[in-house]
Amino acid sequence: MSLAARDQYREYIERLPFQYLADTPTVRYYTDWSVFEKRMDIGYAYTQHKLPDAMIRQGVDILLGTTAKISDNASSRVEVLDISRGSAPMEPMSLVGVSTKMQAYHAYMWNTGVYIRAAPNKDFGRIVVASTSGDGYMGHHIILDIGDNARGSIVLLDYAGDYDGLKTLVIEVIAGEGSKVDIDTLTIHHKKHAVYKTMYTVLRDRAAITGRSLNTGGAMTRYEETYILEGRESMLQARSSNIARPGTRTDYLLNSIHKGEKSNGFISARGVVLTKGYLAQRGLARIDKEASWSSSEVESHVAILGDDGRGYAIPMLEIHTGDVVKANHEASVTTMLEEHVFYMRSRGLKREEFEKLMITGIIEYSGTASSLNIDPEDLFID
Amino acid sequence: MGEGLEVIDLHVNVHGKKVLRGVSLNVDYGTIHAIMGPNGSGKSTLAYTIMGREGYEVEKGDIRLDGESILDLPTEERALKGLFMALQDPPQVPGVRISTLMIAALNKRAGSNDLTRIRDPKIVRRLYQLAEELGLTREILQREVNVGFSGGEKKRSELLQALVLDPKIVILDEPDSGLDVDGVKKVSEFLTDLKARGKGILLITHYARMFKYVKPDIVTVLIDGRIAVQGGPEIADLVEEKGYAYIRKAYLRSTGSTI
Repeated sequence: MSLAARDQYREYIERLPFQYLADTPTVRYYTDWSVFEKRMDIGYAYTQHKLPDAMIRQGVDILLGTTAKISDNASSRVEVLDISRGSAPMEPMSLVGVSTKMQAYHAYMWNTGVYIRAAPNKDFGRIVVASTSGDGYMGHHIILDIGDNARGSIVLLDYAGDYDGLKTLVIEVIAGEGSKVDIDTLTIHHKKHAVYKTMYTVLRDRAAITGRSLNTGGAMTRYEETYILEGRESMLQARSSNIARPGTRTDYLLNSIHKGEKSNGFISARGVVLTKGYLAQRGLARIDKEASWSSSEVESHVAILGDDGRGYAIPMLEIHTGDVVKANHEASVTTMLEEHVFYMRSRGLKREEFEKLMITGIIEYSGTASSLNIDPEDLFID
Repeated sequence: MGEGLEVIDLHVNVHGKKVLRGVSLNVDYGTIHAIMGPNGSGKSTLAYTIMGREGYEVEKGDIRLDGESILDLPTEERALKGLFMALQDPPQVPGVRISTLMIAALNKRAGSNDLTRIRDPKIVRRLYQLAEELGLTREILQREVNVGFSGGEKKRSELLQALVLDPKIVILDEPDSGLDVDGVKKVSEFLTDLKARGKGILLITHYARMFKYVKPDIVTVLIDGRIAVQGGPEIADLVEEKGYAYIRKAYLRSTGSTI
């Protein structure tokens, strides 16, 4: 990226808002932007946090910290370029764009990044990319360029450690024509850290993505996962599990935007809120005018188990064409009422057994826990 | 020592309001005991009290299972002793699959502390088989409990649980509500099957339409928390023909009561 471009982003940080419109008349912002605002002046981190064991045992191929470390194993299967100090074959932020303060902040500040290119018509196996944090600010940028008809599995590990720090992480993905990719995302943020995270994926013709994510946020985690089904007959199945641990706050958005004809999307999230936890779980399924004969479903269910917890489930469906195969949305926020407790006790389970079953069930919902062999205990880091 | 469920002179307050005023009845094994009554007569209160739901305070009387009082037992222990209640409108439980719930409940009954381990693969096969018998797809077992279920699916899922958990006494709170004729027939077949297996069935229903397909052994009509009339299946016919207002008047005449 040129210095001029970076300077422009610096100016944008001052000019652009955190968001343009309030989220609702009552809940103005599901993300508490003040947490980010207070930390935007902290300096770069010079030391990096060690990944938790649950992430290390995945066998990390590419580790982003203060620098990028790329294993020989990764280089043998995909092309990996360290774009931290140089230019990239694809301009960072070219998919996401820069229209808000945090996007501009990331575009200006990010310090470590990689460009990963999977060759067309090949199976690249399993690539594990990890992003850690540090005592200060850390910004990571990942570009995944999946060639046409490529096959493989990508594991994205995102950790933020025990420090009042700030991290930004932007992942831009292009899934080439006819490619078929599984993406597992594991997000574990310590309750002191604030993290702004975006994953933005474009699916070309007949590309198929199975996305699974398991997320537990920090002091304030804003995570937006957007899939643009740009290609004809592109397919998306994305499931997410979100755990609001005690005292943590997460605003999670899972979006499926249809632009290609006969595209097919299913996005679904489950969340659980523990004592004094906060979780906004939002999802947008949008079928644009040009995406005729598409199908889109969005689901969001949140269970509030702990005292003083707050949870929101907001699915939105926007249809801009009359030719739709299917368009459904469904949501619920379940506060653990006496009727739930009675119901499960009438099956022979004690309240604490039922709650454990529910937390485990929501953790396992997305499939990430099973795919990465994650134990529920691995998530409760603080 | 008595066999089956005995409800003896039960007086119950719910949130400080007196709802049941001296109800006595038995549910013997291999029989269907139907409880009928108009809205607010105490039918569901009776069921919840038998299950030990919080807020349902027994002022007087006793509830016995196989001769032993269960009044002091919490709900989960009553369930483990062999009581099961199929709710009229069971709540959604996101995150917990039907199969997970069933395996956990079966493991508890087997005394295991590990609620998630499948002890015997035959259990899964049996779950599939019973689901199909009830007209449910196998896929429903992988769905979260009552999340996105239709009214009929909720009812059948409750019945599936009753079959799998193999309780001694099955309490069904309006299992026919919201069902079409085919659904009512299916539920009735299920009740006949449970009865043949020797289960005691307490069937709470507002209408007599189920009794076209399954005959109760005893019918009790509750009015204002008291037993207004008790007898054989002919009582259900009387309800169908004359309505609850008639039974209420007849009851008041016979007792000189002013309820």
